[in-house]
Amino acid sequence: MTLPKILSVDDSRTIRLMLKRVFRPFHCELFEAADGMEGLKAVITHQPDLIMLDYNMPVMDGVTMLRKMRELDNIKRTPVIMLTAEDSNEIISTVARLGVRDYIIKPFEDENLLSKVSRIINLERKPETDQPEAV
Amino acid sequence: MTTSAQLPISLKDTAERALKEIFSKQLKLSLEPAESSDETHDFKTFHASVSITGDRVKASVLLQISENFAAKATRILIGCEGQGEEIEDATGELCNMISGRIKSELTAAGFPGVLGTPIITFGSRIDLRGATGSDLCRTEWTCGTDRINLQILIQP
Repeated sequence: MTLPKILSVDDSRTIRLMLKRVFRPFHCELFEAADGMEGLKAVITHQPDLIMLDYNMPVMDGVTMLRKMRELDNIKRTPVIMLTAEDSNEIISTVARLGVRDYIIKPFEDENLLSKVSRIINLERKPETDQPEAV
Repeated sequence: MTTSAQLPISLKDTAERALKEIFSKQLKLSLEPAESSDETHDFKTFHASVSITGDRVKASVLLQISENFAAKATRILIGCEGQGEEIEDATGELCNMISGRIKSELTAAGFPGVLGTPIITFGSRIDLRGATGSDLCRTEWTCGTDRINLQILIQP
């Protein structure tokens, strides 16, 4: 079985660990990056099926990473969901133009996040006894 | 920059809405308003602060929570016991989310800004103080047996 691959790009270790908790009950591979530069490298290396992307990050912000991704043929169509505390109309319009599939404003509820992710990738729940370790 | 006379929103109401939204939605915990007392200043707390900066506004948001509550919140957020840096980061993320909601209300009121990166320190409780013309709001809450302090300072 090929597992769906999700890349979390967020400078907050807490958010990366929260996503690990949220996706733990599901069959999927979760990769992490702490800024846009690391994220760009991780997209090229792992070719994820979905990226959960923060906006405000050091080194390279989420919008810059998106712009650079869209210039590269092999990764430009990778689906992206923004997960950020920023909710300004200007930023939402900018990322919408860059083809972002959805936008989740922190704080978020697990069910809402999983619902939005499930519209993009197929999340299959693990059997109840098969969930002790992180994905 | 704005002054208290120009700010068309109640900072106290804004603080309450932001804090309650993050506690109910992200932590599944409820809050009750509390009175501030001198003895709370003796507690060792995590301080997380985030700035909101724009052409018309310069604000600081300060969240102070006990070590015990920081560990509890971290456990809820990440689903397991957190260690040193994880607890600090989680405290910063809570303040970041609260500041995001406050920034949103400031933006809606005509004072847009951008969020800074959370700064985390640890020690005795502190009180923000502003220069003349600044707008300061200090709020105190209980969450079970834990005390939560949230302050917003809008500088002139």
